[in-house]
Amino acid sequence: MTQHVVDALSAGSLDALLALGIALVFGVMHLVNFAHGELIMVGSYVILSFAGLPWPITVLLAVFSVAGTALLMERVAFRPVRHASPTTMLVTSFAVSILLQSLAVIVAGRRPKGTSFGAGLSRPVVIAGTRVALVDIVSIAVAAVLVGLLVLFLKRTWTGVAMRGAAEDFTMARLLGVDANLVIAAAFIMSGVLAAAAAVLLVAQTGTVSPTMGLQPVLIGFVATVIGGIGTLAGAAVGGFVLGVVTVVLQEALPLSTRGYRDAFVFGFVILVLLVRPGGLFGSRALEERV
Amino acid sequence: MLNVDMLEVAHGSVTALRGVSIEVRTNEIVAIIGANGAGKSTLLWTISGVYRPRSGEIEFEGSRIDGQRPEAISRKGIALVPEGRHVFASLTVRENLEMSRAVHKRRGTHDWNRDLELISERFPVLAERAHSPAGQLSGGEQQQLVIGRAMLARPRLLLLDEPSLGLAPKVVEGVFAVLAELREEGVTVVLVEQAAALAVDLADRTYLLRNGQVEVSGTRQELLSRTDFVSAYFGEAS
Repeated sequence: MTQHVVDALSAGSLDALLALGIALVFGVMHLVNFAHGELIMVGSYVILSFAGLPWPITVLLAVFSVAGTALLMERVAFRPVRHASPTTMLVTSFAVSILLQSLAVIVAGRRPKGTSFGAGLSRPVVIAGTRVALVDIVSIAVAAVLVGLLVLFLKRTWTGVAMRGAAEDFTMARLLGVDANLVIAAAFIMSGVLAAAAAVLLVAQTGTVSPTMGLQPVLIGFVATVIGGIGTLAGAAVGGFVLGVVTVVLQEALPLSTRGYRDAFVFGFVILVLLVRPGGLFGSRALEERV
Repeated sequence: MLNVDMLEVAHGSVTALRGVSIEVRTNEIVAIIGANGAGKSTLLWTISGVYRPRSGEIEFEGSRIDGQRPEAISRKGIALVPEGRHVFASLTVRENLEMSRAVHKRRGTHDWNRDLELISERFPVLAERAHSPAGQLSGGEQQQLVIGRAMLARPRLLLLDEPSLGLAPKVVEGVFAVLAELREEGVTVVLVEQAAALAVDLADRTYLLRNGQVEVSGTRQELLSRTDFVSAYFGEAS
């Protein structure tokens, strides 16, 4: 039982990180960045390439390279279309996503690669008399620490306050002298850091890296932000957590014969949530007014 | 201080301003009045850099500002208090005020805490409710917040769009009293109002916009001498 609870919490933690990464950028730019998955992919290849170094160095390299990639992505791809329609920005994010996947195929090949990074985390530890995987405990701890740091940043630093203000009313923030470029760059950097953390956890959990590995996580992250109520960070965190927990619970609770259709049940749950609360769990009034 | 020359602004295919020229001198209060859709708000948003003019020039303290980004214009010393107040509802009152710190960070000259104290003395409610979400304030309190927030940027030119809208008459009096005080302190004010009588009384000069053009302009005396203006804008009130 303890193992199941830890599994659920671990999956929820990872999904919360994915959702927050997407929600941060959406908040200030109203862009669902589908290339967020490729940030995770880039981080994973960096980990694969430097897996031989001491792990803190590998992790730092991943964080810096992914944050750098995110910043570059904003500067090169999204800034020129910032004033274009949301559709244009969405298509741009798909283009960036496919471009990065193709680059990975050219550089590293199409086939998934294995790495021993984080292999030490797969050993079980005993908690309350039950054996649970260490990697799950680490996932929960990493997510908790990152969410805590994010909250501190948003509440206690001027840039954090400016980001929250800009997410609510971007034009007004600019009229008060808040630099649009600064706020958007900060959101991309933080989204990059969260993507790097997700990459570390995913690689440690699965031990494999592939050019298309970002597709599933970005979809989960996107769905989670919608369940939580797109546009709210708290909603994204809770939405991600709920989605992860529901996925694991269904995995365990469904009869063996239907377990293969788990995702159908997961998305059935998503539809149910949205039927009851169209704006998401933490739905913003703006969305409800539009319906 | 501010010179707007032959300004043309269009929203898509709709022309909102056609050749508008206005002049604001240092330490004046200038009122801009006119019916809904006359282009009053568009004028303020264009001066602030949110809308880009199709043609014409805007000069502030001797240099061109048209086409510049809103954050750059606000750093030059122009603050806009838009219609509808635009508080950051989920941020606390204090955090709303902190947003104005952007300008200070760039200039790096002012004593922020001193300025914050001065604003709290003028608007005590901002200190009392410093930690409440701004969305929970009443309309009058929100109006004090946005004026206080704009003042914290230490603007030399303050643009106000319909500050009286939706407020009780008593509260409106308070807001206008603050504007008169600001003039004493050397702040230049451009006031857009539908409550024409109040605005014209307070202002040194008034511009009347109609269909995106300046129809009449002048001091209170000059305007009141024109019977067509009086009957159209003061009606029974006069």
